[in-house]
Amino acid sequence: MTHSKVFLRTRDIDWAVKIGKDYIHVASAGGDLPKIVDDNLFKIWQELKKTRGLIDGGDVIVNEEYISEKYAEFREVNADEADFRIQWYICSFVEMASRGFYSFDRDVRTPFEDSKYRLVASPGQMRVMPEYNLPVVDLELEPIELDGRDIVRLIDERTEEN
Amino acid sequence: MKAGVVEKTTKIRRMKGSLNKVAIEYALNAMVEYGFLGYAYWKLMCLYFPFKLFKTSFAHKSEAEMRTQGLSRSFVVASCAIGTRDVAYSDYSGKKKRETVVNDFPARRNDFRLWYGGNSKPYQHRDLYDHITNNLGTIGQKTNGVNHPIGYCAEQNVANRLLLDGDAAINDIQFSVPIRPRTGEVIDYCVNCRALFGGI
Repeated sequence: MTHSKVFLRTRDIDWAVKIGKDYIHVASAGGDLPKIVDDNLFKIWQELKKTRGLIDGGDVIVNEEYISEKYAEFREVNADEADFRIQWYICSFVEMASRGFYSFDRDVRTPFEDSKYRLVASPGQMRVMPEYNLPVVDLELEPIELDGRDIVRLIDERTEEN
Repeated sequence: MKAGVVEKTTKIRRMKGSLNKVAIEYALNAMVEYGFLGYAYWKLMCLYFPFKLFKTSFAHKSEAEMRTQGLSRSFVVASCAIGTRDVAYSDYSGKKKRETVVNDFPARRNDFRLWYGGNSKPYQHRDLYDHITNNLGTIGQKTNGVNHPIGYCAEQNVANRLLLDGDAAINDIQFSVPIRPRTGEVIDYCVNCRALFGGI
């Protein structure tokens, strides 16, 4: 492992890979990284930096089901602030989706070693599909099918097989 | 891009340590790269959200309210937030240190100071040194199954600085709920923080 546990657990790392023809972005929230990402983290960051200028401004689809489930309890207690909290929560993921990434977040309620990743926002109709130079993972699953799974383990298993 | 703008951007990038300066840098970068009205709005809102939550959670309470709720202590520290994504993509380099916000309520309720973890030296103040070694263990060691070395967190750095400056006694420091800056979610305290400051 290139990066130590201290490094991983104390950072909310953005990483991204290409699965099939789709790009996925994940916010680690202190979770582990797949080996392929761990080894190429600096290159991925460099590539993500380039995406800052590539905002398509197309439609973004937010996973309303997950968001409403996540904030249902909060809404019961503090309905006035719920919308503000939801906006804050999704803004980072919506931005990545507008750049053509299926944007996932680690569910912080799950343990680090057995994390579940949830799809927060996905790109809608892109005017121009951007091309990013990111590590390619040979997974047959569609990005939407990754919702609720441990993406890190899936990618590790797949890359080990190859 | 105009040469003057580049020069100004570089100059501002060198200036660190103040939220206002970070905000200025954002606004300038946004103007240079994406046009002011679209992207700058989003970026500034992302900076604004964490502080709005922080202020609405704590700073709006009057001293009397704090006292009735048993919160008569003077300092509020935003604690144990994961990561640095809240600031910029430049943080992807991993060089930027974790930030923790401290507000010395109620004297300067709008004055937020930023502190960093990583290079803290809590053993500089005797009270804190004793508190840490009694409750957790040796400075620099890992314990409780937590991967954070003792004494090197932003929260401990804040406590150290407040004590050294004579701003507060150790019992005056109160920690907020831990917040994940990117999303505003309330997360669990790390075991070290709970052991160290939970009983304060």
